[in-house]
Amino acid sequence: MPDDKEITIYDIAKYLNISATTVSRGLKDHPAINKNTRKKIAEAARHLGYRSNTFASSLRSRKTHTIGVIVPRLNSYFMSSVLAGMENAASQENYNLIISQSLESAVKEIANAHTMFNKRVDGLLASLAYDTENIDHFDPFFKKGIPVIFFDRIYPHNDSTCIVIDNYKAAYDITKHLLDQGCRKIMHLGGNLLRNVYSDRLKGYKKALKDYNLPFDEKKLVYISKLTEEAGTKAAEHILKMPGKPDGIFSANDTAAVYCMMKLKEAGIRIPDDIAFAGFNNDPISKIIEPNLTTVNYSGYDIGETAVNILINHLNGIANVKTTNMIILRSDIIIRASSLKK
Amino acid sequence: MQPIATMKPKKEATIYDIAQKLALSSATVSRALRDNPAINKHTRKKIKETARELGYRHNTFASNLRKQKTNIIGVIVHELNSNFITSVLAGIEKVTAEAGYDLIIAHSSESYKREAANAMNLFHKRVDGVIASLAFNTSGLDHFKPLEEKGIPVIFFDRVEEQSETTKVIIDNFQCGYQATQHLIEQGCKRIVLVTANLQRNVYAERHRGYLEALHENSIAYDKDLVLIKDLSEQCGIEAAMEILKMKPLPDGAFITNDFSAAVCMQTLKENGIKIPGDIALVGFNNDAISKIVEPQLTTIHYPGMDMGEIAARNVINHLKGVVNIRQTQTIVIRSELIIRRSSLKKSNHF
Repeated sequence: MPDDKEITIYDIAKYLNISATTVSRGLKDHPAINKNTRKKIAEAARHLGYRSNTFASSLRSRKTHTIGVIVPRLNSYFMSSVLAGMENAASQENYNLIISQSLESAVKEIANAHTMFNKRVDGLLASLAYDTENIDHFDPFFKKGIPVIFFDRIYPHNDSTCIVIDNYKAAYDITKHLLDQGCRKIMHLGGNLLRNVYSDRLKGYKKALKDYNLPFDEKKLVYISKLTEEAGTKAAEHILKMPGKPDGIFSANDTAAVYCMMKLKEAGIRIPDDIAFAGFNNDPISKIIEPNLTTVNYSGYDIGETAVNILINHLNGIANVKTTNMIILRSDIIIRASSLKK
Repeated sequence: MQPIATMKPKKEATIYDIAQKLALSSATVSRALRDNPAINKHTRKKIKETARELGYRHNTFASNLRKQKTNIIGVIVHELNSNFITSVLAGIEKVTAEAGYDLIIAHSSESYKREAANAMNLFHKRVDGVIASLAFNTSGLDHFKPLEEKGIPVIFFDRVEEQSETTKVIIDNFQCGYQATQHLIEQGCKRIVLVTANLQRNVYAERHRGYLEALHENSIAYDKDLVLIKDLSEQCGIEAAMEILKMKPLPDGAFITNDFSAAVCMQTLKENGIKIPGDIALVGFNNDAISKIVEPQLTTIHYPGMDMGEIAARNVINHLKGVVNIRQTQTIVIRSELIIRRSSLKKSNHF
């Protein structure tokens, strides 16, 4: 199957017996060209199978109108909301998204960053993998002046803007809520402390305990894992073996909270009476588990949309990502039955 | 060392700059960057380090202009906010990344108009291939014709035009609809509600056909008032429950073609004093994580999104490599199965 020769504006010009300049202008909807002629040109272009020469024009303008996106995983409820927000904002400005996932591995994230650099994306949006230790792999972007925006799982850098929620405050507030419900021995299910989202949530939790003058033994009360379904189940098994059980649990995500709850319920633990529960993310599962899970709600869609808007404003010269250090989006606590002891 | 950012973009580093810096020929640099074994390993390493230091980027565009290839696969989806779709995307990404292709993702928000605009956009982007799932109200595939005429492979998944000649990856929705309904009938259900979406879309039409076939085989009369056409959202689960509660006599079974809607519907029914499965047995669709979290756990159809994405992507890439010609393949049917859990078991107590 030999590919047909690519149709050019000269072919359209010849076909319609007009000049190539007129065709070029007509395709760009230039008002100097008569409306009927423009329509005729568009029809001929369609008929002949003409495609605009994005590459040649990219070579000239040095712009690709693509935005690279690196995420830890595509298949999570939070990330799909982020992508929907990004896609919506990008398509309004005629940008395309090139998407890749690190599968939570720093090694793959480094390879992805390298590919995006070679693809000459106009800008990059990244949320870091579970075990990424530094951001040297984004240096080529900073050196070239290609804007990089970190969202959710961030890494502050002078040339970049970060988009987050106030994880510290949200964790503080939700822990305080458990304390107000009478919990005095609150356990925390946390994630890798390399990642801001998890270290800030741990800090907020600790501060709330401190403000209540409660004794705190990190080794006994903090359970660090990958916060997966299995990790939630394992945490429950661990809790069932604990000599003095906690009376409240604050988990850094809903998945681990829900699977921990299910296992504890199976073992006859009553929620919230024996152990009150709070999660983080407001995933759909939080509304389905019984009792419904108290959690922190924040909009992935808004994060995605904001990230793209900031990036495009930078590219259009309206704003500069170097002068904005961090953008904090709204989050709020949703109190449901899982934490209401009173 | 780096100059303060200026308004003018910096000059792009070329292989000539690398060659000059290392006092090598540009041919050597070019070969080394492509990992040609003819170049000494140490030299290759030195060249790559210098390339990195100077901020060199392959000239993808120039080389694309020569090769007429972009190494980009375009993906058109009808939405991004579902477990199923993101599993498909994860599957596609896994395969395309391994094969060195990039993904451009566009979503139609269930609008035919946006879907057509996305198809043209990908056409102009000169993607090497397209993987697509159709919007609720798309009929006809003329908007994919320009791609086809250029010889760009297009593969459809899940939401497809069943009667078309195009290559598609689907599950047997008819069989799924039939199995779910037959299972409810075997559990003693006689008035079975079907909650589904726009019957113009193959997936919902086929599940509906399966439902009808099972009723027919069991000599149960079809009652169109028992079929609720909705959008399968969270809100739709609540609405469906409210409508079911008003039906007289009360239905004894419901097949809801989305797990999240089914779970929300179940909760609303329970809040209104309905016992599941005692009063109404329920079956969902997708086998989302949620189906194992609701109480009682939800009987559902296992629908492997990740496999579907991987298979669609592998076919496009194999076609591009010339290993297979997808134009010879019309339909790839992926295995799906009914998973029986407590929400539908009116009869037995073996759980």
